[in-house]
Amino acid sequence: MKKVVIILLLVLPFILIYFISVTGRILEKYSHIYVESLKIQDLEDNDIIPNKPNEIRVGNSKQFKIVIGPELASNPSVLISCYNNDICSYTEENGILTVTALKYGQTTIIVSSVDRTNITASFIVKVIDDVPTGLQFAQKEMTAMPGKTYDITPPSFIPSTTKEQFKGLVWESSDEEIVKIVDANGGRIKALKEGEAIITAKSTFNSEIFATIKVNVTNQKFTDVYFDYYDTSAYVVNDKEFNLYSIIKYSDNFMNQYPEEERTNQYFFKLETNVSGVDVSKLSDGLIVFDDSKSVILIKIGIYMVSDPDSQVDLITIVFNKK
Amino acid sequence: MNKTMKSLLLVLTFMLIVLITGCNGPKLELKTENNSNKIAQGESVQLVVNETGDVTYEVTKGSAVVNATGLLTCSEEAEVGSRIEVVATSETGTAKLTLSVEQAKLKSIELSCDSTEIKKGQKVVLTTTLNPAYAKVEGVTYTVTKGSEFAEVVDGKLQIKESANQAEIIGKTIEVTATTLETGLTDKVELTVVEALVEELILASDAETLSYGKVVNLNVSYIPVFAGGNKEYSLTIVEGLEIAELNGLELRVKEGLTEAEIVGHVIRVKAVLNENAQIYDEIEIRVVEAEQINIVVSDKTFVAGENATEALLPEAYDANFNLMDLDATDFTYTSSNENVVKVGANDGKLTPVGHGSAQITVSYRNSSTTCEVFVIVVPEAIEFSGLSTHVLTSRRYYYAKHETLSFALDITPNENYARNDQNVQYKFELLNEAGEVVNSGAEVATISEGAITFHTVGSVRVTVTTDSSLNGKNTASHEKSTSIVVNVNEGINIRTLQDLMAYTDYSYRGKAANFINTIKLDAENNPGLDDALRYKTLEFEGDRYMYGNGYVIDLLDLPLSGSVGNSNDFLRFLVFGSENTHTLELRDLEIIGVCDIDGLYVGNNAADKGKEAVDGSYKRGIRIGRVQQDGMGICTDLDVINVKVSGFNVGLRFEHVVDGYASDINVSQCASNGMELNQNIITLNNITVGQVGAFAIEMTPDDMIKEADGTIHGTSGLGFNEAPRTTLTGYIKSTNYNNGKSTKYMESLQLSGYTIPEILMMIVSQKIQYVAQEAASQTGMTVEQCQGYLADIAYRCLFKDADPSQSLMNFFLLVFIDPTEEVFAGFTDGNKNSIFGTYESGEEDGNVISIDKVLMDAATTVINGGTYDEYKNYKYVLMDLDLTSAMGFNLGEVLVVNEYYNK
Repeated sequence: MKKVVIILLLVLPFILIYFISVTGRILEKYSHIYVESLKIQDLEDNDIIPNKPNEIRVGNSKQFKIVIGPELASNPSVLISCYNNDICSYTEENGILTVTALKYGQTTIIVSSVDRTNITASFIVKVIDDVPTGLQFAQKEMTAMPGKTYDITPPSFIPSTTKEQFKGLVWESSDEEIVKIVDANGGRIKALKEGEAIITAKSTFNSEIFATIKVNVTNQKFTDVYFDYYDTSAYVVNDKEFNLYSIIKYSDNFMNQYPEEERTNQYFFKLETNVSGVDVSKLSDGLIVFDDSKSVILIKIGIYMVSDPDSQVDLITIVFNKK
Repeated sequence: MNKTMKSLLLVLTFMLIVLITGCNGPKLELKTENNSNKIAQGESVQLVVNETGDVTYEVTKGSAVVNATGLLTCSEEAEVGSRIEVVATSETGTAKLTLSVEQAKLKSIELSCDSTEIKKGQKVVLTTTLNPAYAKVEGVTYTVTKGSEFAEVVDGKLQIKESANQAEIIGKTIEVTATTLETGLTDKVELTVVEALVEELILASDAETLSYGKVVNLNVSYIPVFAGGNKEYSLTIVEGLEIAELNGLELRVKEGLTEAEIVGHVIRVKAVLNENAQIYDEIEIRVVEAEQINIVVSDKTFVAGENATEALLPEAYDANFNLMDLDATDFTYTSSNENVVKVGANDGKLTPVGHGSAQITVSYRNSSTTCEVFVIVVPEAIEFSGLSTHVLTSRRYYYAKHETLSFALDITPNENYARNDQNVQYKFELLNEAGEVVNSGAEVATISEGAITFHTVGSVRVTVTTDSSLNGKNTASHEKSTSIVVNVNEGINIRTLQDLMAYTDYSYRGKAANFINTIKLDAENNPGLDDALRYKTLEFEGDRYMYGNGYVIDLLDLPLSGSVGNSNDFLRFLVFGSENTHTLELRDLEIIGVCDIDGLYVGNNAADKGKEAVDGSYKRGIRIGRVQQDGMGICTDLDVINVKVSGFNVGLRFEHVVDGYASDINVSQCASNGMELNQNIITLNNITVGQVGAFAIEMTPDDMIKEADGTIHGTSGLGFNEAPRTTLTGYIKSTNYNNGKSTKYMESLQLSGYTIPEILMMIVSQKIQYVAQEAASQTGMTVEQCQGYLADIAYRCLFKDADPSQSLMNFFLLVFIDPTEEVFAGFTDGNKNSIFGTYESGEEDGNVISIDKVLMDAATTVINGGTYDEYKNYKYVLMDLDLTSAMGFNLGEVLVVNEYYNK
């Protein structure tokens, strides 16, 4: 009997431990509080996030609160996944989800309960950046002379804060036989023959963003003041003195606007080239004096309007060719 | 005649003949062995005689020879048809034989050729040998009996057909058969087709002359054209290597040579077949003068970072000055100074590097020209440096005329482009009060070695503009400039405490003191600051103009110094001399004392830390005005603008000021009241109050009309008989709350037996009821509804936050009226609806503050569905001062108190 008691006493602790363990499991099973809801809350305004884009600027972070219901859920752990980890990264700590925007684009973050994986919440993260939304040429049209090369001022990006990295352009011509693109990534064109061509500058960021400028290739001139010379060859002068006014023409509109004595005050000439052997001290009088000890001197003279001294309205290449 | 007869006749004839001959006896007879009397050319026939003795033979006629044995040989040249007579002589006689010469007969033919091999292009002569050789033949035909599809015989020569593809027939056999026409004799010969190799190189060129920049294209051809085998060849310049170079088959003049060095030279080029050095060809090209090409290219001014186009656009004109069809990439470019601009060697694209100009040489063939590229690097910004933030922000600097002024400049360089130096230009303009330029140039100020000398007093606008011009280029639109208005006055500049102490001298009355740096009251920077000077009041009399220029007088290094008494002010403008009226202008100055809001020492002297500081340091930061009506002058024109005071018992005190204006005042960290106003006629504008121990602003008017007798006991104005008036404009911002803590001052404060919380409770509740009625009449809502809204508004406005569990003790702002004045009676006697009722003196609209407006605005916000965010701002901008509100009330005293301690 004594032995039996001793054996029972020895066995009893094990039975008790087993019983406690089983009881604990049963209790755990019945006391487990399941996750019933999962919501994402914007920490800035406490709004529950519907499934709409949350805009975050590149480099910035935004915090969201993962609200697990009920609050006392046994296992509030969540799994977080993102469709595109290139666009944003995320960290989660104590129910606070911090999303950091990496790259322009849009993706979705999905938060799901570990306890019940069918309970999920997702929201769209729209990473915003200073990307172009439009392009605009300062001018819609320009004229060009056959045989001449021009640099078109690139269109301005909209918004003006567009980052440099998004500012690539590709240039195209609607008719390469009329206007040739000399540099596909720059605005250099060459007019080949008379006609019209539409030059398109497309954003390399998004080819649906583009701007166009119409290039009229013609030998005619449309500015108020221009040189009465249309040939692509240089204008040859043989005498050492040459008066630019001898080849100046005005538009009818200009002539109507200004009486004769006032016309020359509306524009000025500018020597565009750095060559020796040309005296332009009397350029304001239209006079160019060449050094006749030289046989050939090439110069370029531009016309500028006083009202807009930065814009050249015509340009001529003059060559002094001593006979 | 019958047959028998005929035969008999024949026999008889025969017998007769035999008889006749036999009758002649033995006789030498000569004949040919074949008994023919014909002999062919070259043929030999044996003569036979009918005797056996010695016989001699002799050709007596014709072209033949006969030997001793009688072998007669006809000469090959013997004429056909001629006769040969041979005589044989023996002992018995002679005999003669005549033979007629006939044509020699062809026995056979042999076909041969001069080679057993044949290659395309080769003509192999076919030869037919006759046997005998002198035989005559009418003709021989040659037929290609094998390989006729690619070989043919033309004019007796075998050749490979032109159309034959050499590669396909190499190794094949050709059989040619020769056939005589008459006799049909044939013979064959076989040849093997072998590959035709290069036999000759031909070197040619597309031009006989070469000029600078041009290319002569060479051409090497082979003979035969279809030659196979290794046709590789080497092309070398064997003469003129110093001036010419080959690039493949292109021959050109080397770069960098002058016309004189090359013209007239001959370039000899040799092509040699690698397989066989014996096969070669040479050509001579003569170097001549190049065609004249004229290049023109515009200069370019490049404002770094701003130009849209960044490439040169050269044009080339030929000798007739026609524009050549060239692109920018056809030219080559070099820059004379790559520290200024780099240029793409082959595309002309410019990369600005640094400020300056460089020549770009543009070349095409042997022609070149230059253009000038100006790279103008404008700095990002220019700003004065070494000045206080206030000066830089306000763009105004007060300065004494008698000193020269040297501005330090902070020029932010262009971060992308280099620039070593930066010129600047100064411009001086004298402005009138309207800011219009009334004079400029040297009459206003001059600058020498950076030091400006002012030649006038007044507002002088000094404009400094960067000068980045190059070669006279107008860079004005790109330049950066900054300007500051220097208020030049006849005063002195204050650099040290000693300067400030000197300014206390009466002789400086009417003159300005301009602070031009921060003044720390420590021994190092202010020698002579001993105990005797410490806490000495700096007292200024007469008209004074003190311009702080945003600098600070920092007292934090001062240790405590026993009791200095309650009257010790730091800056005191109290006694205004014997004249009756005086002007004081005090602006742009900050003073930092050593007290905290509980009056404890927070200065830098470690030994004094935490000690009671109110009695051991300055009591007031600034005190202006006077107290007693004692016949002395008073301040009748006061402007205190942009003054900041902290760290005293009382920050700022105004007393009996007439026509005062205090604007942009910032007071904080004072143990008692921040600002104290006593018996002034003054306007307060834009007042900011930080934490203080007591009330932010204390106003103590004593001009009340006693309800009992209607008498006025005003003490303001020149005659000390006007009602004090404090006009509040702009805003009063208070952050004078303390997160649940109290200050020592407030803990001990009671007013008329009421604690502050009790007072607040009553104010608010009554006010809500009053305003609710008004709001209801304006909105059409019920009073109850408005009360509900307003209660909520008041609660949210006046409480620290929206948590209902917070108690009323969270008030942090209160419009409060001193209970010692009669106006407060309305609150205590309970007869009036509100202490905010119209103040009975009612003589000045200027003293109206509309708390109603605050609440009404908030009410509107809520009624319109505003959010908490929209009206919680009222926590900080609590008093919107509406001078026109009909619902206003006159405040005798405004106290902005701190968050009260919750007892």
